[in-house]
Amino acid sequence: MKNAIIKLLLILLTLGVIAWANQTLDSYTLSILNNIGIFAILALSYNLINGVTGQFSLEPNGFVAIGAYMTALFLIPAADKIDMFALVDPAPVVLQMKANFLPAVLAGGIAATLVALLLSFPVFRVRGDYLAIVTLGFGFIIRIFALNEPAYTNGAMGLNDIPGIANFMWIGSFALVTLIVMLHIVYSKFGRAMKAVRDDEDAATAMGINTFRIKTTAFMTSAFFEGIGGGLLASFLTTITPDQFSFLLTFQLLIIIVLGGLGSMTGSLVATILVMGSMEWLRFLDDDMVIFGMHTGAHPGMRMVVFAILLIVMMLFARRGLFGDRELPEIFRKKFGKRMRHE
Amino acid sequence: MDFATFLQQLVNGASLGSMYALIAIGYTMVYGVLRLINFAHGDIMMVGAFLTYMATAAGLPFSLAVLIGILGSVIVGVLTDKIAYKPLRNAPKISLLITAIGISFFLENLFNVIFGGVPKAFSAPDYLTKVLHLGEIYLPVTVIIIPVVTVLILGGVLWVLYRTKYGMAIRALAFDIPTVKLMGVDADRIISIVFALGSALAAVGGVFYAVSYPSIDPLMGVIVGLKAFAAAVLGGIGSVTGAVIGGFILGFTEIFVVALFPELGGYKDAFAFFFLILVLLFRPTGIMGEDLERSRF
Amino acid sequence: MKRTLSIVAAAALMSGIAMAKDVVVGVVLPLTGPIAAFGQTSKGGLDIAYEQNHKLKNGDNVKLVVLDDRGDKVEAATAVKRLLDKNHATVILGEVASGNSMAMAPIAEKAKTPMITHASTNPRVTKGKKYVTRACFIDPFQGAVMAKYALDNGMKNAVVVTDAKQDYSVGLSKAFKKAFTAGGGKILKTVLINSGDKDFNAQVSTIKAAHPDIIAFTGYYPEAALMVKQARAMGVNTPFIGADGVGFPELVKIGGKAAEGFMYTDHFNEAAATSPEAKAYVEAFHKKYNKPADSMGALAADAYGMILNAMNQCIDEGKAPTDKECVNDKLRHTKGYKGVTGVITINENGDAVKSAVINEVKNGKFAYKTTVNP
Repeated sequence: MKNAIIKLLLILLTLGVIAWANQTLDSYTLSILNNIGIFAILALSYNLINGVTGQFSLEPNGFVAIGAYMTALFLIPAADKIDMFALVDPAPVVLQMKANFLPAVLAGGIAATLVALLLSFPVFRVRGDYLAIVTLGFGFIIRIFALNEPAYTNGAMGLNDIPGIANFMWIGSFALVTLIVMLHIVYSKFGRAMKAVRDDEDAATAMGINTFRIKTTAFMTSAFFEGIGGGLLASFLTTITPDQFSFLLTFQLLIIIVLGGLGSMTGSLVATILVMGSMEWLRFLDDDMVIFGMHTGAHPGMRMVVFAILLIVMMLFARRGLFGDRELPEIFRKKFGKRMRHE
Repeated sequence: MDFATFLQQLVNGASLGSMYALIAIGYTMVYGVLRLINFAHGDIMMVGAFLTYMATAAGLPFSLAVLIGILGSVIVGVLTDKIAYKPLRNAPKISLLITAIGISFFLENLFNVIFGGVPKAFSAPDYLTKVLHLGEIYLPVTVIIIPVVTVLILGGVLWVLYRTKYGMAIRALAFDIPTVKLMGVDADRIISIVFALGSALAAVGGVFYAVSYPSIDPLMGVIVGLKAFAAAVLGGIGSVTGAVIGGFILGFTEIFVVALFPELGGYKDAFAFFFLILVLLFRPTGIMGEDLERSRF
Repeated sequence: MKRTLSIVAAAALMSGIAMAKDVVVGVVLPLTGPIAAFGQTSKGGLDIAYEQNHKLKNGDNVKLVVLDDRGDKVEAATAVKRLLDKNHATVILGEVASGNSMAMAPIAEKAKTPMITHASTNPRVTKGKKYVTRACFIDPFQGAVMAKYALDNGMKNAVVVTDAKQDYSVGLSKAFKKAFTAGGGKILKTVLINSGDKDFNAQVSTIKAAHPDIIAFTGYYPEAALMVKQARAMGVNTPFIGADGVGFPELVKIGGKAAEGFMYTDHFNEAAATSPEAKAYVEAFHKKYNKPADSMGALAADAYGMILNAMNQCIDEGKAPTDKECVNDKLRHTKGYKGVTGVITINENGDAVKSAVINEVKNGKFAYKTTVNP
């Protein structure tokens, strides 16, 4: 009971801080916070399938794209669509799509979930690595589809003038909801089953766990929130094209969840802030280079080399990331509470 | 489509397919032994092409340049294994896959930093870029050379696998690493040999790729690598012969779908994955494979 | 140490007697990432223009703050917000890719800050925007120029090659087809490719069977170079015509002899640069980079010049050069601005009305062929 009250107060406090930030901060700071919020949603949900369930997949860019397009099509008024679709006329169903913000974002999540269900049949029929390669391929196919079905997506032109409703109030709240849901899953019976599948699939099966069901559920849940993140991204940016959902997006998320610790939700959250922050921090270096008149083009892509090395080094020497697969409260408890045996 | 065009497209398909086949062999070998999707395989191919490019740019004769490209790729491939994969042999599979992605990204971006993203013109000697005229059919000599090389390499690889003691060790490792170690085989050395062989094949593929399409860039290996993997799965992952068959099927499909249904041209890069999903749904063992969990050469 | 500092401070004060202020022009370019080549050439030209002139009529200094967006939309949008909030930019200059410019435009529009893109040719970039201008022509014009040139030279049957992955190519193809059929030409076939493709033999065989007079290639140079090479190898000798996306040295480096005769429309050719402004720019460019001046850089220089021009007009009217409403108004009403790429007038949509040049690959160089006026 006491715990529940503390949790409720924490949630209300966070919402209050989000509302305050949304009102008072300047647009640049808010846009960084919005980026962090969206990436946190994506990283948390990606961690559920990769970290908690141990199924190495590479699809977030695909699900984010589905969510983004779905939400955008629901939000853009029909008249704008007719004007915008320059290649072919929009499909009738596209013109009929119309919804308020919240249902539009949820529709993005649901669409991604359904696609995840379809994908799970070929993918989870076999064990292991095929998930990685099929999901990687799926990310490509979604982009190819977006490029080649202009009646639904406006092809390479992409969608623009998407109503920019997603402010930090929305994005921050969705990030909070995602965190709460994910923590609940991790601590639930389901979460324990997922971890059992990760640690030893044969043993899990022997214990009577339906591993196909567990994996599919984790995959679909993950897809749902990735779709939502995509919807928020579309409305936040107001313009989307197939290109922006490339593998690079997935790679960034992979770095985040590895850094935070595979399986640790709070770890992913902290790592999102660190990685997104360092991206901006490295921009300060760019600034300096311009001020001192140095050749900015001297190291194109160096940031990415550094991130790739970071990922490899972490896998070799610090595979557990920041928090291992534990959550922040547990770590606090261990540190300040009863002395526990060292791991 | 008239008959001449049909023949021409057939030639085009053979040319593309043999390229995929060549790269798929290396992919399937590493997978067969380590059960690792070496995401960096396509990038090793890129390294081979770039090193050859650098060597020719430095004025070395082409054959020597190719040798340098192959040697360089072998070194990169073996080092990758020693530094990044070996320490993780007993770690969860997911760690290995993440590291492989990291290596792939590292190579792509490193070469991007060094050479820039602008494609480079790859120059090959005339005897490789010649085009023969057979009536109405135009036949680039690479269309003849690449399949011949691919078949020779296939023969060579099969010979190594089935006629040498290393091959026996490799095949044994593909079944069970710990047991083979117990029998006194230096597993790490054998795995290095596999990586060296795989990387050399990737480099040869990269050079031929660059000869056929003389524009090289740091990302050139990504899509080809993925397609080669799809081809390997299609043929039955772990089966060298299957990899070659899968490569040719993919090559012919891409060419003929584009030729017969030009409006589907935009979907060309998706075929490989449709195949992949179909195979997983209906015949997870691929064309040549027997058992996915225990595939052998 | 202390003394040196005070000397420096004193010197700084002396030189600052006129109390010149800094006026910030925020620049967003893809200096890294997949389209880095475009961003870097843009910056090359911008630097020349900046060195030539960065003082306003009232003595104020123009200060450039250049941010890299890695060619990424999210970063482009963040960069604009940063320029507005942290650097207090009066004007935003950029981006190259239309998609990225479209991510930036609503932010500039909302902040009532003028934005000028030097190279985004998609019509939608300025559409319905009050604060967005461009220094280049739009794709429909370029497509029409390609069509007109082909028809004028008696080429009536065309095959169009479209890169399905590029909004630029898709839009350009549409414009070309419209103008070409309106002028009495016939589109025999549309062939789709994807950027990143290397093998075009299937498409080339299809084109060969169609026997066109002209191949309208609307994609970018990496694919153009390989396609023309494969076409020539297969005995297809039909001329190619492209647009500004193919005019890069790699077309010749990769295409080799096969690229000879490849025609394309462009914003600028230094051989056609006859005005004093253009000559001065080209001379400075040669001196600094020791290579021919490219069109991306020239466009960036013009966008920058138009900004200075607008600011100076505001100063003439007794307004501050940081008065965003005034600067925007002057930018949107630019008339007869003599730039490096020609005489620029901005129409009611915010698009530049200006001439295009047609170049042709000759002896491995981009030779100037003719100028087409709007």
